[in-house]
Amino acid sequence: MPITTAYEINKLMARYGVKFGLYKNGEFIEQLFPYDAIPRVISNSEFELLDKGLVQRVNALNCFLKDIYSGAKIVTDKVVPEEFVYISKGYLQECAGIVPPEGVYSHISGIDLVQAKDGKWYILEDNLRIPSGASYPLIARELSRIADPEAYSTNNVVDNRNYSDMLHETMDFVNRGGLNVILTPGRYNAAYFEHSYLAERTGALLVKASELFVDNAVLYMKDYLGVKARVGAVYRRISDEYLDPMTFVADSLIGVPHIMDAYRAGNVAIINAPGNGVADDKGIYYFVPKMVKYYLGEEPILQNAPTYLPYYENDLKFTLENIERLVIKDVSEAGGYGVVFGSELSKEKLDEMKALIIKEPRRFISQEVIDFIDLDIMDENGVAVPRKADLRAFVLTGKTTRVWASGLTRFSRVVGSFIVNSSQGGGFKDTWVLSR
Amino acid sequence: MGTISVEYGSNLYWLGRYAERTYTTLNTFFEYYDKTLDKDKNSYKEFLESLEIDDKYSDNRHFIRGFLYDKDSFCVMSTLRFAHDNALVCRNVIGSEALAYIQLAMDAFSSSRDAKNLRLALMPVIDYLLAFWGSLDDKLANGEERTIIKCGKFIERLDLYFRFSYNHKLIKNEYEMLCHILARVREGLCNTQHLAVLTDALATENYKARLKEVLESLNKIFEEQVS
Amino acid sequence: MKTVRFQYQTELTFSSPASKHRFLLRVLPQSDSRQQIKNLVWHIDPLPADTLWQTVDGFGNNALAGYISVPHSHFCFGIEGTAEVLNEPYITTSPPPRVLLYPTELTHAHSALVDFYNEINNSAPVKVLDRIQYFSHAVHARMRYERGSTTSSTSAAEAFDAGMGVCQDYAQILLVILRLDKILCRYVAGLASDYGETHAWVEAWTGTRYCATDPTRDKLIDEGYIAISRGRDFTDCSIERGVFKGLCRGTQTVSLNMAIS
Repeated sequence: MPITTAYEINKLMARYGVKFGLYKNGEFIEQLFPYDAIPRVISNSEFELLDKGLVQRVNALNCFLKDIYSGAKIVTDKVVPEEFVYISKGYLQECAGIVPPEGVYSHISGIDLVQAKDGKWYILEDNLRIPSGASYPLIARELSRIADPEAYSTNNVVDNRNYSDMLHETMDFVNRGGLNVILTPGRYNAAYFEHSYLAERTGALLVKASELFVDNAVLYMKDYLGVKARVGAVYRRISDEYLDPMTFVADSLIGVPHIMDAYRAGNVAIINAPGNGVADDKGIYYFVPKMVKYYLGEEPILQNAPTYLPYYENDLKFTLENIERLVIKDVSEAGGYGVVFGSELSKEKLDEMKALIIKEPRRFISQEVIDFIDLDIMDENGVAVPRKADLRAFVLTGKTTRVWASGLTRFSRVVGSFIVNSSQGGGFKDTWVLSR
Repeated sequence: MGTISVEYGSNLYWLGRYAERTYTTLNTFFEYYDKTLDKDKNSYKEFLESLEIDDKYSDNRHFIRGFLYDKDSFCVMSTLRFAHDNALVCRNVIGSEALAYIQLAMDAFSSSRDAKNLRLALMPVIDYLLAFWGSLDDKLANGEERTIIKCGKFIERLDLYFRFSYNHKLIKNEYEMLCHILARVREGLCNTQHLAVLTDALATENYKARLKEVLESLNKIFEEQVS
Repeated sequence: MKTVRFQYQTELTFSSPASKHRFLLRVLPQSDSRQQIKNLVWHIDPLPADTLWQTVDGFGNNALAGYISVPHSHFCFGIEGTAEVLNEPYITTSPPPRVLLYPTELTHAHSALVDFYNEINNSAPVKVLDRIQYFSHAVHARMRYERGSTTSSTSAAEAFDAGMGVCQDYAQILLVILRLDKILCRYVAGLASDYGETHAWVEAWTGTRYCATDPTRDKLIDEGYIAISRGRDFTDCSIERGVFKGLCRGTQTVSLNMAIS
């Protein structure tokens, strides 16, 4: 794609306010999310495999969540050790016994994958709480079509502009009667653009907690004349702990008091279900392939990056012996934080790390470093340079589980760096899935 | 008809007011801009007086730059930013397209700062604001949301026309537009008492004697219900 | 079996009127194998004109949820009723959830608590029922009762370091110790005769039933105890939760009467 097109697209991004916010030195600023015009291309056959594998994985994860909150058979059967479940910050005892509308826990799953140099895909992380980012490739495609209208039919690219329809269908499927709303913490949230754009595209109302209230275990929205309208589904973009000051963090100002009561009574769907954090915990990740076998009786189609749990004696020994070539992840951190590459540590730091792992083995996982592929990005001079990139695939579960034929390809802007998170300066690309 | 919360109502109303304030202030500003350059370089003081703004400017050139680009809340740069702040939280109602026109107006305004010919450089701002209203009319043909924005727009326009002593006929026209819009709002939203004050005052050209009362009523017709 | 008449009330006085007040009151005791609750009535003042409903929280406790929109400078709620209570500390239920074995924010074990556990564990008896009583006694012996020395958000670790606290702290420290000993256990908030305000104690799973022990008073509970709510720690059982518009909370007055016959 010529550099002029890239320039035009970025200009269009600015026009439509495609931004993400972040706090720097205590001040809220908004930045354009750097967009690179060279797309990632996924062949049709490759996507077929990803599609099958992702549907399988998300189905297994939904089974796991259902199980954990209704008896935890997988724990009794000793497939997953109970401490991994109950020490997880994402596990919410308050959700035990609640079956969400239609039995769906993870409606929107963001599964992070990387492709190794041999072409094989590995799952790096499951995001089952509030995976963000779908709006960026969605609007990027809209704008790219303006900048280069013919590129898509010429290259047989699957149209990805159906994300909002998929999301809308998912909301309607679990809606308990009433409005669909998107609950945002407000204007100063990092992903506010996404909240408002998805609201526009799905026809859902964008609301803040102060606009909602619960009466007799039913969730309502009050309009400016005091007329109340029932809410049937909430796509909430605030995390579990701030969701309901009556149940979780008591001084949360962005939550809706008693919303958990409405949810428990089956009067409203919460998208995604509270308590999902137990399934996308970095410690639980290790067990996802086992879940696929346990719940579905199938062999996992997509593999995890080779992972070790220092919790197990053998894995601890292995981790300590090979720490120089492993990546160590703190299971309680997110967003690219708490990730340490053994190869980058000094002797003293390595020893410190080892001591920490011995002291708190449950807190860490170690992984083989997957040397994932570089994708070309265009630098300021229009020259293609290679950078590490991952892929967040969006998998939506309503009546069925479907993979969006696109995704968020994030890349690092630093040579050789594996950290692609937007909060740490990464950019994004369009992801083309070919129709043949 | 969607469900509009109190906060949305307020955002829509103020979006209408600030977009209109930017537009009408800018147009009126240009009239005084010409006057200060051609006839009386102090005529800008009259402009400030009409808006009840203290004159803190050293001369007409200082005024021209300052009133446009300073950070005070009455400066055009600020009112446009306020319009944007309100538009941003209404994206899903007004549409990305309408929001984009406010964004484009902001960008054009920012880049006019270094221009030699301000009038030329600021023309796109006026264009984008008109495009913004066009986009709204196109997207929200009959919606209650549109009514609220329009209420904000015409209340603001009348407020400025009163202050700048626009001629009676013009004001009456705009007032009829406002009444036309208010007829479409839901019961309880329009304060009929305050509306009556305006109708009474505008019956003659003598309304100027009651300016203070007129402005107060104008600002209470709708605002108390949505803000 | 004894018949216990109970009457409990909390009154909150706000320094300036509160409005838009949403609340959750965990004040409704339920019957179990030890206590049969009869003639339970509750009162709330001002009585919410807007909305009020009864609900069950995530731990199976009954609660009242409601909303008072108008400004009010005091908020008062209470219960009264009678209970037929067995003079035994045991409660028979279905097996407890495994999560009761794991620490919470208020009941995490820091190194001093682990050391304390190791120290007392050396001479602990073998049978689980004996161990529960032994640990309860050990906590009682180690701590000093000091009203006002801790707050509702003080963790077991903090209270232990200070060496003093109130019933909530005693109970939470005992929970830490029992959990270190792999005994499933839960926090109980309730009423106890001659205590003057709401009390807290611990129920520990013996393998077949719960045994309830009061580390503050160093005894197994008797008919002078009525359980109101249960959970992993104090937070799960807090009697009152609320969000409202207004300045910070003023004073709280609790009154409690229990008559055993």
